[in-house]
Amino acid sequence: MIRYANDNNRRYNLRLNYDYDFSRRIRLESKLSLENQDRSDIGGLSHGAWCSCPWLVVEAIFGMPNHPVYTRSGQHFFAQGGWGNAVAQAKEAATATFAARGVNTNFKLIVEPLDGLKLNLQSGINYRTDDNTDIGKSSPLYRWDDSSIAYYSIANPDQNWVDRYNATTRHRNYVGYACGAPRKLVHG
Amino acid sequence: MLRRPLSLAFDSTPLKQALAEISRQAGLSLVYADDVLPAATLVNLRADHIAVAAALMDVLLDAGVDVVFTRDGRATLVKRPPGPAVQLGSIAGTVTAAGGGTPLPRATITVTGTRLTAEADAAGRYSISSVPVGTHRVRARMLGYAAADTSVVVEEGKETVVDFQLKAQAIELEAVVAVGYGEKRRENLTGAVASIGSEPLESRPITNTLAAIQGVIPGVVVERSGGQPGVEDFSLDLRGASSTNGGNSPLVLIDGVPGKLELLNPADIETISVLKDAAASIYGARAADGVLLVTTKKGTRGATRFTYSTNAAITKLTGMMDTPNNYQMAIMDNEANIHNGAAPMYTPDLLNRVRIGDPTPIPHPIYGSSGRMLFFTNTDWRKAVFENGFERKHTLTASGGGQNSSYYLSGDLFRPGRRDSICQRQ
Repeated sequence: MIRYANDNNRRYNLRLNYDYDFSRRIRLESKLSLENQDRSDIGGLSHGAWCSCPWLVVEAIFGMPNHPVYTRSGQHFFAQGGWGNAVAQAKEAATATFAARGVNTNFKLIVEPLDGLKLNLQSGINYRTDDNTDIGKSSPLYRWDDSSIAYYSIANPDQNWVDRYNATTRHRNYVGYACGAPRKLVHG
Repeated sequence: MLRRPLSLAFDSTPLKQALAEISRQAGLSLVYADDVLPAATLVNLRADHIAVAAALMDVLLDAGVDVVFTRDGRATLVKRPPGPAVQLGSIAGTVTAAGGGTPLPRATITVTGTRLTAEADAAGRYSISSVPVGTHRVRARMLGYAAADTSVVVEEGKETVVDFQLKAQAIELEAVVAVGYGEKRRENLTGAVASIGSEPLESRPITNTLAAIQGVIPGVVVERSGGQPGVEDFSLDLRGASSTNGGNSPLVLIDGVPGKLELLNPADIETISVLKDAAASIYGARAADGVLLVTTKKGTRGATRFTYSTNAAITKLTGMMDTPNNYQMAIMDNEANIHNGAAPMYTPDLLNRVRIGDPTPIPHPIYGSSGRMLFFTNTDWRKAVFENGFERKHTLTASGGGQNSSYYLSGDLFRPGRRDSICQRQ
């Protein structure tokens, strides 16, 4: 949706569900799935308390129509009077990356010792990793005659920052239960 | 007056009584002699907001009378003059189940486009008399069986024989619904359990499971507060707000194991059951906000069957308000100054330069001392920043199996193109 933004986003899923009947009364159900989501974004986006959208979007919507995008010499214009330059924010920002990967296994053994009575043993293990990097990078803006440089909106040169987030999550779930169902009634 | 809406509920009501009620509600004066109306005629009609004319037509259809309206708002019922004699015949036959030939008592047989109808007796026999001569379509239906219809030619004074054989048809009651630690037939369900199959998920171009169930399952509220792929910030709500500072999200079990829906491929889902009432309590305290049971697809035994589906979509910001251009803003700036008792900043010459988009700015008439400039060109910031997005989704599945095994294999690639946050006010 935003021009100039990094365009490297994808999600893929793989799944194999395999069931095997050892006999009429013993059945194994197995499920294996892989999930991967790579997302990249304009780095350093922040937003106001009143809106979940980043300032960049707000600046684009409420940008002053009488402010140019570029200065006379082609630099990014320093939007005077407290306004930002959304194009500069989009073009100059660093790329933030967000990666989520998951592996899920699920095995279920179903034994039916008697008609209508099922014993279930189930094991489910979910493994997920998150690897995110967000970067706030300064970008200069210029007055119309390039007489001075200002830093605005994203970060000042002395306030560049990197936010890294790494997480590994494992959920192990073991369940055993029995369930019964009455035989089907035949309606007369 | 004839269009005045009435609310009527006649169940085997005598015609005279029905006319009195219509007359009362419509404020219409009905005049008729007692011998005009057939005394034994009973009326069945239930309708809200039915027009007076339509109500009269319905109750008098088979009474053999016409309504004559006078200019003073009265209506008179008169006997319909005898028309040419209608040639009649009859239709009769049996309704049986296909295959075994078992009679289907209480099957309904109707002559399409008429009020002629009959119900099969214990032996599956039926008979419809007083059928106008000509070609008709006759339809037989019965709960649990597929309806059948056929074309018949009725001849004067003769009985046309039409036998129906209805094929058994599975109905929704046979469906199996996942419940806590097991399954139940839908016909045996007594709790508040909603369920959906894969159809509503596959029939919409949805790339995310949570978006797929939005507005599909009764009682499940799915809200999104962002449009950025991957961070839509979906919230799932099943039992309403039960905590002011904690989560209200239901427990999500994917094939019996707690999981998250965000990354699940919607094409892999076979069914989703939602346990809203005490049935959820079997999962303990985790289920305080209800339970969503997601069951993924199983393989279908037999030869391998491949399916491929793809979806391409253009995404566009919508609901954006209009913003002024430079000239409109200059006019508003002048109006603001006038209302404020100040002189308009944009003189006619400056306004003209804005109108023609003069590329040469001047020092700002008011804030020029601080280095600000007054520009006459126009910038459409939204055009400069936003563009339409493009997304693609490909799904390939293979399903099959042998005598003792079955498999379901799927791969899915979702590739959203140029995009970023979509603003949504909270």
